[in-house]
Amino acid sequence: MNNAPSNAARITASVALLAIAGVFLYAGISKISAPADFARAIELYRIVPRTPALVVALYLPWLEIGCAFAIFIRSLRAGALAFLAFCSAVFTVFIASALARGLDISCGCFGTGGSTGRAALLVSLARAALLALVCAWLLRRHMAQASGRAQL
Amino acid sequence: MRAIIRQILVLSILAAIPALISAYIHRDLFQTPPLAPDETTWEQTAAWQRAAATRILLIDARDDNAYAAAHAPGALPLNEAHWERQLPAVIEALGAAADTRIVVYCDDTLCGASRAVAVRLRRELGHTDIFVLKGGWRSR
Amino acid sequence: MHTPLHILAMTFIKCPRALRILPGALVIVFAQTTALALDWTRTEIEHRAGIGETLPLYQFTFKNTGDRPVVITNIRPSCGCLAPMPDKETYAPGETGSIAVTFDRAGLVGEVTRTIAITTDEKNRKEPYQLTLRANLPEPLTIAPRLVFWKSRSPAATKSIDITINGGGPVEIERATSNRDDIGAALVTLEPGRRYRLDITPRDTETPRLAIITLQPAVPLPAGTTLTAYAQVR
Repeated sequence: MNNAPSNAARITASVALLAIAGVFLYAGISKISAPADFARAIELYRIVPRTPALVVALYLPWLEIGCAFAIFIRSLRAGALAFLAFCSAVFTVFIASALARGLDISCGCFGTGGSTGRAALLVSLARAALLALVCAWLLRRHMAQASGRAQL
Repeated sequence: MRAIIRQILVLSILAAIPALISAYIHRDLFQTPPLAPDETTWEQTAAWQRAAATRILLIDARDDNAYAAAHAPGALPLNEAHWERQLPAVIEALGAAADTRIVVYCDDTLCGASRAVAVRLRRELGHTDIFVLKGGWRSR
Repeated sequence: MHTPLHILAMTFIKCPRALRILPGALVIVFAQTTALALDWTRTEIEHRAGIGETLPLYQFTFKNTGDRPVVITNIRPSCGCLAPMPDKETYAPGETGSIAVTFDRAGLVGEVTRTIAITTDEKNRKEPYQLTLRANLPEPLTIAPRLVFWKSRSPAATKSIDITINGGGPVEIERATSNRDDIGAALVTLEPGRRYRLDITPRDTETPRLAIITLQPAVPLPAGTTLTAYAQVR
């Protein structure tokens, strides 16, 4: 198979597209039933005030669901991937900022367990960064294919 | 690039429809819950202080480390862990004026220390003009 | 037709090696959907403490009934009087764990409710777990109110404070002393060992001042017992 490398890349890309769609579909669905909790979680980062947090909490899950489906609609795939990459990047920045400012433990009673909290946040940071990178890679691939096809 | 922006716009509009429905269903979240009769805000407290008609005594109900790090100007610390030690200073401050309005604050809306301190002050000192500051230190 | 699904289907038919990648992808997707739960033996503890008794160590035990390890990421007590300590940070599926809580009752009296919010790394768990400690902390005696006051230039009438001995055995109060000569305190015995009244009279209400009145019990009471009242001219 002389086009084995591109086949492997195509398989990986397809799997990655499914995985990304699944992740964001699940993420969106799990948030739409409890916007108050999601808004409170956003507020805890103390980057945006209450009302914008609420708007994001109501709007973002539907955008995630929409993009998850739009990945499989060729005419909308680029936009969906771009948006998801952007969201993941923003989320990465949020978590990094929370890590930099220290965890919000109200009375220090957790003692030495502070390192655990950090570990969990670092995992979330890595996950968000990974999602952003994968989306960006898929987007670039899609754009390259689209421009390749346009030239034919 | 423009194609991407156009697509994102389409997705935004499509997602906005269920989002608006969701916003309508959860519309009560947009209303800030009304203040209880004994609750106040930083703005209102500042207004009282400016008016100078009533003397305001600020009480910081957070733990000692938080108070030492930063507190509102003129606020006295009073928390249940060190009640007996910190109470005399509060009582002395009450003596400076015939009528004093006490305003108790703690960390944020979620902490109950300010209310616990207010209830205990009302009970032990028989002082009725006590308010709890909604939003606490973080909303300053 | 080269949709991802089509490519995927053709891949399985032509190249079984791809099957190795798929489980990885499925794990990423479905790891998010597994339901997790910490099952707590009890989430509320009530305790009627004895007078002056140091509170015991409270234990909240739980079991990880999920199929993924659970990491406790944050423990937020509602006050500094609670010191919760988990026995470790990560719990494997099926593992039991416990959170030990020391409750420092210093300064607290009466019915006291405090909570602890526990956050884990479970993804589909939005709210922290809530543990509640309800303690009834009686004091040897109740002084009500703790403060009597007169406004400057108002009549220097006598004001009273009620002293009640709670539970246990009788506690005799021998005397009450004011730390200022110009505010006098007289102890009235209503029921020996059970009920007393403190009558406080200022000599005048011209100048603002504060007096501390201290009660003297016949036998020493547990350390930290409140034995002071205040009288103030504002």
